[in-house]
Amino acid sequence: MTCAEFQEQVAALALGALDSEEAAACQAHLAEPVAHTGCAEALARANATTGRLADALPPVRPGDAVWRGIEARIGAEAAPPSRGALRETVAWALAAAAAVALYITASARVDAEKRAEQGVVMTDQARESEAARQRCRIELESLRGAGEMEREAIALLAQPGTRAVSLAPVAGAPHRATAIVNAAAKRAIVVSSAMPAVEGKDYQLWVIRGQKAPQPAGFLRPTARGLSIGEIDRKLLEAAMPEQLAVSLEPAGGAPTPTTVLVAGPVKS
Amino acid sequence: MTVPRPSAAPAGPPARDRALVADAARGVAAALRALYDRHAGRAMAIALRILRSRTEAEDVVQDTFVEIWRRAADYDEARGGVPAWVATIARTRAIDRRRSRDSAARATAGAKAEPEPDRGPEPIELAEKRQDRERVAEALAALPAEQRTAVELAYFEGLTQREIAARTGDPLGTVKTRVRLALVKLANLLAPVEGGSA
Repeated sequence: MTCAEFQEQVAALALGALDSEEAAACQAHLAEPVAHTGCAEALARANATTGRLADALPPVRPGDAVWRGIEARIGAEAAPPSRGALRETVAWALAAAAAVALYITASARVDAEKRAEQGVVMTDQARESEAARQRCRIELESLRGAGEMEREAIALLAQPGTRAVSLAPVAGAPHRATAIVNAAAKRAIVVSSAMPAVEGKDYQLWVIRGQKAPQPAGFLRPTARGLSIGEIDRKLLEAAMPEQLAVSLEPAGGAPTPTTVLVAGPVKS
Repeated sequence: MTVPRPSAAPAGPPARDRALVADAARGVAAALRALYDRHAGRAMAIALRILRSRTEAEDVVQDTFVEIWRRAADYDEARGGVPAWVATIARTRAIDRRRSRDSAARATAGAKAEPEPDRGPEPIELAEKRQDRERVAEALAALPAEQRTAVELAYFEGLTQREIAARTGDPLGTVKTRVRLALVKLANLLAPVEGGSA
């Protein structure tokens, strides 16, 4: 897509009036690391204009119970997450991975010290190692509760050649996700802290290759930590990495083609 | 544990909104209440226009502000002002809800929307908001009828260009041109006036 072609569609993109494939193609164009000629500015102007359309309607006061419901729901939640799904996800994952590495290192050191010190009072180094081992054990205990897919994501992040790619929101949608991609391992795991559960709906994953129709590639599932996480169907990555990944919101159980694409982004390096 | 306190309120509606969002991101519930007081009427109007059901619209408003609370840290001023952000969230949720409801309604053909309680809109506008509303309404009225229809079907009913073409019977290319030209004209008509707020 050229910048001129993108700007032809920017009004429809801002209105949310593009098909999912068209919207994904526009987002992919914006994400391209090339010198764009005014694309972001055109989209910002279009978003600003469409944002004003709501002003055409006279405001309507919601019933008093609405605020009470909001208060009850936010009162039951922790403080909002810090800015940036990518930073949050990677920081959490790296901290956990570091805990794993430290546990392994500390554990080995303690074992070595015990072998060397048979029956003798532990050295300072051994005491420090033991303290580190206990801290790591506590981290691991929390990690055990994190779920298999979160541990898979941590392990994938630690592999050489893994990239974390931001999946950008489509048409002003308030969503974001990160794809943890390793082409050599032929794996991609999508993580989001910004896709709250919707009753009766599923967040569906898609693989997009060129102009072909998006292929269904799995689902994001909520975790106890408030993340949504899911792995791209590995069979779809065996031949080659796709150009793009996308996430849409579908009726429970998914759909054969995407209806409401929320985020999309290029993953092929 | 110290409770986050609101920051000092700078002058001007956009700056005030940004400060409230920043405070909400820090966990200041009073900031969310202030955002609610300022923008719930807008979110309710959009949701009600799309869903035609007060109960469902109120559910959407509740979901909207809970989402704002959760995502306040992700608010990006470059993507538009806070009112547009609130409107986008409310509109997206309302459209999703309506599509889900319509799918269920197709399975029970003839089902009617929940009857509206006879309350009617309550005037909570300040004079400047009324002026904004009139300006946008005038801008929409200034569009050629076909362009206005295309914009309204896209924005208030969540139709894609392809669906608009199917609804109106017009060629897809014609619909695309109307959408593009309509937004260019609206942008010119709604450009900030000298000394006014954007």
